[in-house]
Amino acid sequence: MRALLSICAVAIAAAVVLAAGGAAAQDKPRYGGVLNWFDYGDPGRLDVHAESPLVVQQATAGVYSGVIHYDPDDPSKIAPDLAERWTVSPDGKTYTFHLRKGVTWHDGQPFSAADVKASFDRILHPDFKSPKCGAALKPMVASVEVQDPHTVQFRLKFAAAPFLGNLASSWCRVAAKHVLEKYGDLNAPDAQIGTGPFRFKRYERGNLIEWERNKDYFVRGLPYLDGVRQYILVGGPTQLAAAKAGRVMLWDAWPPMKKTQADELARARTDVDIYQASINTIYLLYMNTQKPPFSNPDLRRAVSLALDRQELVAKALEGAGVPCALLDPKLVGDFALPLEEVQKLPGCRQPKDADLAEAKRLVEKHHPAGLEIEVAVRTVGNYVDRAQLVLAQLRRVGIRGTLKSYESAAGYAVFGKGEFTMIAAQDRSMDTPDPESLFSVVYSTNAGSNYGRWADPKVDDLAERALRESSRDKRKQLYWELQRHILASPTAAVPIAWVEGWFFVDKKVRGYKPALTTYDNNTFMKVWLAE
Amino acid sequence: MTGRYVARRLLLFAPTLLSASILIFVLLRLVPGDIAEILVYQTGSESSAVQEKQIRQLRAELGLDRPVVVQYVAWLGAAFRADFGQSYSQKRPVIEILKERVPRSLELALLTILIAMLWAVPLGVVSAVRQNTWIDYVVRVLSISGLSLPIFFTGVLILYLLVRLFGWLPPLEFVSFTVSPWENLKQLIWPALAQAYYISAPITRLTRSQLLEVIRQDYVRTARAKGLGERAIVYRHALSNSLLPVVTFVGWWGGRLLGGIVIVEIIFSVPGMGSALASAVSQRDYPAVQAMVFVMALVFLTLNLLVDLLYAWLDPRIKYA
Repeated sequence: MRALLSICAVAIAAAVVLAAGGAAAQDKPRYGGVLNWFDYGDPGRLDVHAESPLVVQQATAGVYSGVIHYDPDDPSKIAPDLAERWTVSPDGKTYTFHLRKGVTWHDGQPFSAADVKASFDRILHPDFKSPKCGAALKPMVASVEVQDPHTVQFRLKFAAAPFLGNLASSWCRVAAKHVLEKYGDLNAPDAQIGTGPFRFKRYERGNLIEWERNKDYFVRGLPYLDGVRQYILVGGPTQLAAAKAGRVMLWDAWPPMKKTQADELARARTDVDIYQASINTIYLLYMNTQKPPFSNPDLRRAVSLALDRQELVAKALEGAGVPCALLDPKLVGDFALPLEEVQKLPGCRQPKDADLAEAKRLVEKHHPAGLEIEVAVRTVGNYVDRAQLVLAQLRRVGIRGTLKSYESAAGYAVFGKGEFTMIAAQDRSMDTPDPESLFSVVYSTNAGSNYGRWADPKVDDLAERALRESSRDKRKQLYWELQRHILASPTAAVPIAWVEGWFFVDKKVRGYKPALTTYDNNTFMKVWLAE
Repeated sequence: MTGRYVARRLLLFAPTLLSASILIFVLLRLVPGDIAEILVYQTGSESSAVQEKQIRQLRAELGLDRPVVVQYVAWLGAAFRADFGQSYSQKRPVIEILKERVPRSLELALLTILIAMLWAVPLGVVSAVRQNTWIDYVVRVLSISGLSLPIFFTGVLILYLLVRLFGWLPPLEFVSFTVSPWENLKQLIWPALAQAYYISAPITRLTRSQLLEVIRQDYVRTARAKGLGERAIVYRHALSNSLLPVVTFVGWWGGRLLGGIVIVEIIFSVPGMGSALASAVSQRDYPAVQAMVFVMALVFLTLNLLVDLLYAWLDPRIKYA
């Protein structure tokens, strides 16, 4: 018996070793192959400093490098890229980056600190429209100075906690000074000369973008892939058909798949891993505080109390979302108020009886015969379906809404000018994974996406203090206070949920780690294809 | 064909095209939101004060701060020199976009008409000759369903069936006909089929009804009385006379096809003028939209003119009253 047990033990150990050996062989990166994926639209312009659509980022991500970037192995961390290392002055206002030596641009010209200065002087110029990197860095960076050909210094206006996180963004890429001088901007395909793992090979407008391996990439041994091919697939049915037919190996960005699409794909392909993930986007309902009826805080509060976030997530997002949260713990960790606390707050708590009664009382107080409003919505994604659900929920408390739909672009123009009463559904992506992003783009008085024009000095003060706070713990406390304050206030932008969706990766694709924003970690520098 | 008819028809062409250009220009500016507002507000990252400044800057840069009439006259003057300006959304001359995209859409339109004619006319003939038989009923049902199903539905259905039945999808990478005719056809045949199914329905029905009318004419009866075979009667005498309205219809549809091509180009990932137009409209890229719609109007009017002239040539009775 003992002999039999010994044989079994040896056999099991051998099997484990063999399996481990096999896995190790499989996990050893392999060179070659082309990764196929898709862009949801045609970028048209390619200037990563000047544009904001995700497709521009996707089209150019692998071509450029940053001074620093989000670590491809662990996208929650910041890692050196063109900089080998950096130091921070004791007052936290000067960052000195020591750049790699021997780096060359794709056209063979040498890279130096002058390129970093030229890029950031461009991005930070007051008259240059830089909606992502510029918007994130302009408030905090005073100047960029060259110390020597391989050292560059960023001098800040104040000790800004999110500086490194913002600089690591994929929008803050370093372009060549000589390219900027030659082309004036980075829009043309010929101007796509970077130091990144891939060279820009071709752009067939409306159809295809292709990169090829940069054999002179400054990280030895990388990239593994021979190239990356991005098909421009505009329609949802086309994207799903391409996925089902095995023409694309990756679906990770925007728009995510719906549950039904993910199920359809799972039935069609067994060689893919399908997963649910956040897209770092908050689903908001806006009210215009500058005109009746929502200039009245009581009515804004009534709407917030009437909305059943859990029902909206269950029905409109097919259950893929984090309801009620102002910050998503999955994205910003403990900067987010604990969900257990959020779920007990008025507006979010279940059952909703008390909240609905209070909302009804508030509406009746100001409009005894009920309230009639026009509800705006852009006709994109399932926004109209979401709006119908919102209207149904508001009817329970005596608010009767009429839907007014806008074509996508026209909607933005109307919202930006404040020509609406309520926007039933509007998603807003975060530009960086730092919690600051939400407050600077939605909730501060001068925020670019503060469509409802809500102004609260306490919000501005807390957001500003958190921005300048260097102690992580104190910063966390400030953000908690800020979240509690907003969630208890008659805000113009009611947070419904953080949106999630379904994605897939072909099992052959290895080394790919989705980042915390849809914009980052799309360089594929460490991605390889298994046999 | 009278010279007066041709002269009048040609004279009408220029003012019609000019009216179309004014209409395009004005309608586009009636749509809410200009490119400056859209570019700035849809990003929504910068502060509100910066946004307002950026909108003013962009409008001045793109010449949108000038009166519409001034913009139109400048545009028309340049258009005469085939200079349609610079695309806002692609930052390159619009003429480059036209040169790149128009031939692809024209190819798709021609392929569509070819396929539609190849199956619709024979089906119409069979349906007329075998009137009220089961073949006629089948053809009529097919025609009605072709008319009833919107092109986007037929397109998506074709994609779905190709993937479901064969695990195959048309190539996603566009290859021009001059580089590889086979690869080109592998991609374009499917959108052409989706559209051809739609437009073949009225062609079939028109062929059928015209043929039914013609085969009851006296000269057909005379041909039968002379002992001519049924095949010769239908194909040599009746069909050529019944196809006159079909020619008009196909010419008219050829022009319409360029406009309706947007949907199939998006579904089948064809980088033609339709998909470029959809993208330009969504970004309020006025120069690109104006030029593309202008080209569509030009093609439509030219085809109509050709059809009218051809019609007058085929049927000498045609003339202006």
